[in-house]
Amino acid sequence: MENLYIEPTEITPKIVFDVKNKTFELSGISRPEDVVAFYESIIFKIDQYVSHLLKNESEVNKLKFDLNFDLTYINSASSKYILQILDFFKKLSLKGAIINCNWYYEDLDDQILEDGEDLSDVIRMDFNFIARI
Amino acid sequence: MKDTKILFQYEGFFSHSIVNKLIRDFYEINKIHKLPTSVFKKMLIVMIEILENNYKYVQSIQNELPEGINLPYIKISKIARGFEIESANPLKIEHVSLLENKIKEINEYNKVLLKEFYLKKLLEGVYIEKDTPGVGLIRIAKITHNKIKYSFKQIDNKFLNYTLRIKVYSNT
Repeated sequence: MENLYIEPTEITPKIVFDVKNKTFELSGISRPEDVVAFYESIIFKIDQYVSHLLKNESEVNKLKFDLNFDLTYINSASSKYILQILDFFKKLSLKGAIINCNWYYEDLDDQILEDGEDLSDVIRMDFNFIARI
Repeated sequence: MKDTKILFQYEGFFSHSIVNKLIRDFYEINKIHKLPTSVFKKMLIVMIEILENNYKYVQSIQNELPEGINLPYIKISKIARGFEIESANPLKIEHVSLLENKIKEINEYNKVLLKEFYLKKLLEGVYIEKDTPGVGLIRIAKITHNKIKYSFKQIDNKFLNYTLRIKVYSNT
């Protein structure tokens, strides 16, 4: 898989997937006008990539990914697709990969913290919640 | 009402670009009023979820709307202990019971149960065909810790006007 880079806009997040360094970043605002169209190709690429890694199951436990979420707003439609992305990485973690999921939030923004806690609960993955002061 | 002051209002059919403009306007209003971050974020979430629901639904029935129908609107008012966000849009009578049952169910839950319900619906929504998990109203009730107030006013034998009122208190 090639690296993924999507520029942020007023309504869509910045997305960076550095395959070589195994880091994934999703930051900014996520409320695309057409949420399916926006996330569809990203989901497809990550799905393909993770499926490819899972074919070589004995190597998966040597993998370590850093997921960095630094969002200021997520609409409820986007949460579905963020959960799908997390679910792909969870599949790797269930096969022994280390998934380090960092959820950044502004110290006073308890809503984005709560969004992260909710997603963590739903997907049953531990997040590192990191306040920006 | 004596203690009510309108901070913001818009009347007309919504679109994604109008929603974007209204959000930018709301940020500007906040520069004047300097709301606490947590109150501002709650109001922003309520406003966006309401507007997105409103315009997507109205767009889906746009071709069926009778002439001269009441225009959708959103209004944000300062009330005694916080703010009230009120919106209205036409609704097909055949969709009323589904919506009303959903709101009644949400309003039955306390804070803990509402969170459980929200997480359950988010999880169910992950791999369903529908493009959104349909949790907007649950999210609104969950973050505001308030019951959803709503009313319906019949327009004709096919449509009615659906009004939603959400209170965001400053101390919750």
